Amino acid sequence: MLVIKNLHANIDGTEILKGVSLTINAGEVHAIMGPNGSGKSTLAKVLTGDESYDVTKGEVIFDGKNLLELEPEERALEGFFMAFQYPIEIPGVNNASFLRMAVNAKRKHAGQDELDPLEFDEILQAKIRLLEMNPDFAERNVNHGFSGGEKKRNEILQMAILEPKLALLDETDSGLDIDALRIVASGVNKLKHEKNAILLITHYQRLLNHIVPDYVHIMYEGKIVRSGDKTLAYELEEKGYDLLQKCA
Amino acid sequence: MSTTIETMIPEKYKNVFAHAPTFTGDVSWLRTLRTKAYKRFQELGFPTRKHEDWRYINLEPILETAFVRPEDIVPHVDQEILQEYILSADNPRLVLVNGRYFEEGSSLGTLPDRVLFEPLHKALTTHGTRVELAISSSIEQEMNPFAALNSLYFQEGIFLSIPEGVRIETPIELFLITTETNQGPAVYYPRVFLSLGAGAKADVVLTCLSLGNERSFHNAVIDLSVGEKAHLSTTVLQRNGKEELQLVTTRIRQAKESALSMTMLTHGGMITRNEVQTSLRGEGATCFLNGLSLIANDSHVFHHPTTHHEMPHTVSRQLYKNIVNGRARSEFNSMAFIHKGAVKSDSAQLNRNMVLSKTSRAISRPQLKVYTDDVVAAHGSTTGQVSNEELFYLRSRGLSKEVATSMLVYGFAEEIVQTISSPTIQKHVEDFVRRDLSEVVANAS
Repeated sequence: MLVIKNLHANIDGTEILKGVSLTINAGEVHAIMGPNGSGKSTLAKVLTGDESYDVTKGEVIFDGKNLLELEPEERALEGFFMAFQYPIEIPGVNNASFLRMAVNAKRKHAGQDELDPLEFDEILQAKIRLLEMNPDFAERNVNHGFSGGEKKRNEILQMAILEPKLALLDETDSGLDIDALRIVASGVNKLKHEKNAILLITHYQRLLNHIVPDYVHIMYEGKIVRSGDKTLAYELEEKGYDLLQKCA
Repeated sequence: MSTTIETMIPEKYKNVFAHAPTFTGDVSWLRTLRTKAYKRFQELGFPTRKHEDWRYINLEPILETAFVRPEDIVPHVDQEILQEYILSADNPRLVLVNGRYFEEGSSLGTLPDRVLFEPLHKALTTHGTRVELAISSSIEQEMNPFAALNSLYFQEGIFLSIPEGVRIETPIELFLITTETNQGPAVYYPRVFLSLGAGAKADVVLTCLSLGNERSFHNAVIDLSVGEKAHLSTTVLQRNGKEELQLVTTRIRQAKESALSMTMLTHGGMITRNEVQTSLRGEGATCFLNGLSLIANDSHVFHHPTTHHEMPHTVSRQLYKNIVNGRARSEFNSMAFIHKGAVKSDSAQLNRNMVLSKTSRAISRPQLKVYTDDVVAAHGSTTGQVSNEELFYLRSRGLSKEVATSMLVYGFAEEIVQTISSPTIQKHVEDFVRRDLSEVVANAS
């Protein structure tokens, strides 16, 4: 589904990604771990299409398409989704109408009929229940005045509504208390099936107790330095940076 | 009388006066008033760029165009066009087309008996004293030469007087419309009088519409008088063709504990200048002035709200937002005067601008003069662009750049739409704002 080959990327002339390679197949859950500054969030932003970054080398194939040639909205329409580490507050834009427009853009792209507000509301309320969210979420402005936990849950709500093929969760666990983490994780688990895939970016092994990965990758200084199964996360948790230095 | 005025015309303004009417039909008090207005105009003269209040406006299209006052035009607008703009056919409605009363399109009949709602030419004969009082009280202090010119030339307009204690819940709809006349650039001097007696209430929507692409010049004056504890909400919707020149001078007098809100929404036009001056003459009077400009291409819009706090415990708010694209230009030049003795007054002015292109410009000059202690007075201004972070976030969810931009710009504009308290008027305006906005956003050049 997603094949990243030797990806290099700069911001303001500084190279952050120094040759990332990774393959994700449908039905798989991958986790990327690593310390601050290792390039995890840069990878997420480059994959989403953030124009602040320059890709200097390498390629990314998503579902047979050259992902790097697509505009951010085209990536979304093709089924790519990133849950932001810091979701943006958009005062003046209503959550429900924003989500409905996003869903309808996607349906239109797939040649399906657009949903009217009533049809959409039914779907939205079902997903809100699934994620144990307050129904008034729909009528609030996008992330405006939301607590950190509410913003993260809103990201997962968007994921639930948009039903992406590949969902990238960029430190979705950071800033969540243990109950919120459990709810978010169970939401993600309910959305998971054979035909989609999930890429988790996290600092901590904690999230991986709730969303169990098939593969764990360790990123360090702009590269994936080691890959393994979920036991690698325990090993990292136990040995910390020493393990990374050994890898490097 | 007419010859006297014509011989007084300075050579360089002859274009503006080329259409000087004969005032032979006027009643005597009106002739006296016109003479006073002309005298006042002479004292003021046309503004130049040295006048602070006229520094950024290009008056050349107004002063250099040989305007005519179209003759023998039967006022008419197609029903479908009117349909698009009216809130409800059941509402009381008065329509002026090309400076004349359009009887067929108007509907005056559904108001309570004591309410006076008629075209101005009629009110001049039936209620002349009241019109005279409304104008002559202020003409000698008039600082806007174009307003003085309006007093000199006005023939037709709208007269609405709501007596003490009458509360009208249905919106009253007023229209100033210009259409193409094929007689060359036309000038109109409409005059609108609106007064509310003590405890009265009304919701008024004024739609200024210039249809077609012929040049026309609307030099309008609106006189509003709000009595003790009266409550007036006004919404002004300006949707103008690209050659329209529109100067709208509004003078408001507010009595004790009265409340006024005015929201102006401006789209299109070549030059639009909205000067609103409020005098809070009674203790505890409250006034909210709001404005939203949605402009692209070469449109220039100038907002000049001024509030005079003349008595204690008066409250004023000014909130104006301009969204400029293309080579458009906006100016917010506001003033809050807190006069001596107006203790415990509370005033706030805020201007926020969103600049969508490198060639558009937003000028912001909120000003404050405070002549007493113990008041609250705030003023502020921000100018920015659409946030790239916000845009990226929305695009990452599958919305095109254009849709995402429109969404963010509407989010910015919405606060002004929400200042309109009547839900039906708010919805009506929202539809226009959304439509105008996508046009303005699409016009990024």
